[in-house]
Amino acid sequence: MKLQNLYKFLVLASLVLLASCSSYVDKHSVKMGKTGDIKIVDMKSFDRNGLLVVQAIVKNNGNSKPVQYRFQWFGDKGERVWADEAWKPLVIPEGRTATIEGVAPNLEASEYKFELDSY
Amino acid sequence: MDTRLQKFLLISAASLALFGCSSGPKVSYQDPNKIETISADYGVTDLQMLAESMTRSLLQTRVIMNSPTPPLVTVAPVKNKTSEYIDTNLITNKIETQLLKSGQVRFAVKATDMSTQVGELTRQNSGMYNKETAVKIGNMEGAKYRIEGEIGSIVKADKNVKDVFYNLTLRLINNETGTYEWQDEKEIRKQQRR
Repeated sequence: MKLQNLYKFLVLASLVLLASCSSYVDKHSVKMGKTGDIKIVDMKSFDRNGLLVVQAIVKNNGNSKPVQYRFQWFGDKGERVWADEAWKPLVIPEGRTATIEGVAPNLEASEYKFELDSY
Repeated sequence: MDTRLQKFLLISAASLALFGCSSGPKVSYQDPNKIETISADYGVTDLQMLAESMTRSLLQTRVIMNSPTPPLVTVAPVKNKTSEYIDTNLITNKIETQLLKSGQVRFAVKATDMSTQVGELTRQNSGMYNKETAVKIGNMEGAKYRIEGEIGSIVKADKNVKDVFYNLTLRLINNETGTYEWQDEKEIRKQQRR
């Protein structure tokens, strides 16, 4: 009986963890255009010497057209704290993952959006 | 109708059809942030990626972020060691702008702009200006750090493919001690097929 409860708890915890992971990615990313098999697997943010640093893990699950990415940076109240960054090309061989790191341009940036698009 | 006249009219009509209605060059504005892939040569996207990557890397260093007040820095022109013409002032200006906008760094006048600075100081102290409002000589601040670096490339090509590799290396040097406080590089590789 106890083992059964433990299993239930573990399944429930995994589901909650999965849901929170996907919602975090959804909340902080925007996919535009035909990005095809390129998927954002995970995202995390942390502080490095006072600056917000973001790491996005992106996987190419198959053949895809070339994609581009950039970060948008926001302040506490959702205001933009930096102008549009230039789009950067992203090349990931089929079946591989890549970690893209974004560093906030100033100390005002406390929120971000990762944009992925085809070009 | 005279054959000559017929010929003349025919040629005139053909010329009008060919050249008279031809449109001029088509000009359109483009998003400066859009990826540019016109050729494998150094381009706008390369400039933007190099400057952004270097600025963000430099901003994370302890000497910048842990300084109680924004340190005074100066920038030396990036040396172009590639085989093509690159206006490296665009790289240094872009890096300077982004660092200044971050609020974490102040810049001293570059060595290349020093004659303008000295000229302004001299002019204001030439006796033609009110001494009360004229700027004083001897108060310029020396930069604690300087940024310098170089861009290099490796180009390989055959009749079908041109492969270009760029590497920008920048470093932050303590002017007093001569020590390297930070150094980073950004690499770009492009290929052009005929």
